[in-house]
Amino acid sequence: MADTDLKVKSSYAGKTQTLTISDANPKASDSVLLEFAQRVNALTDNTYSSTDKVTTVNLDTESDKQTPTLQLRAGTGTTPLTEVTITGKGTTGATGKRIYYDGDGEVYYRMYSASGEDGWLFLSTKKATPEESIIEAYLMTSTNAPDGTYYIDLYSTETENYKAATWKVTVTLTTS
Amino acid sequence: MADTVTASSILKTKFYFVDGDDRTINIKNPKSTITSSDIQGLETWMQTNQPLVGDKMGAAFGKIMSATHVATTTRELDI
Repeated sequence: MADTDLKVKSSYAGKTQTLTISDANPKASDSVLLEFAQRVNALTDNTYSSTDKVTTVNLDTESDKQTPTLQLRAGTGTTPLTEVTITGKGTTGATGKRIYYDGDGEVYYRMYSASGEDGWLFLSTKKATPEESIIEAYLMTSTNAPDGTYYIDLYSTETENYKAATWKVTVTLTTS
Repeated sequence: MADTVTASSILKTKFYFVDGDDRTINIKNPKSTITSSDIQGLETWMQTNQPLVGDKMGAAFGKIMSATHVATTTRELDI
């Protein structure tokens, strides 16, 4: 895990000194960290000089992380829709949603409509370029489910080493 | 030669994170005019902007637990 320190340089009575502030928030912007360093210095009689942000990465334990982008294309053609509405089929059931990864490339969203049972939204990952993964979504439904409106809530859970996913939500419905 | 007297002061500031962790930063040469409202102003800004994180999965900064102005006078005796 990378550690981020701030090295705040200042001078007092002609002598330079460095204050190290450890555990700076790696998700904070550089301008926030700079303002923090200057605010701390403003509590002192020191003459502020500069602030460096130093990130230490343990190469033995770190691995490359990518910023995940979820892109679901909707409708016919390539024009994305702004609303996420899936019409699917299901029998009566509970409300809710569940997401899980099956371990070999597919992420499943299981959705429950307010009045119907689950339709499965099936996502499969496809790496287009080294910098992005495109996830295509497919809706699978049971054969005797009623029509209804299903909703998907998409969000990212940030961890230490990932940036939040960018969700461009346009949903492809495959009808076959 | 007379004894050498040097004065130094440190503001020992204790930061508290929501995972229960706390951390002290010793800030040298604090202004003699620092008031509790200066510290509270820094605390409020830190709660909004979150420049520091705690140990456990980047726990958010909670509050400044204490700020103690420690003034030290060192007298090196001329022997």
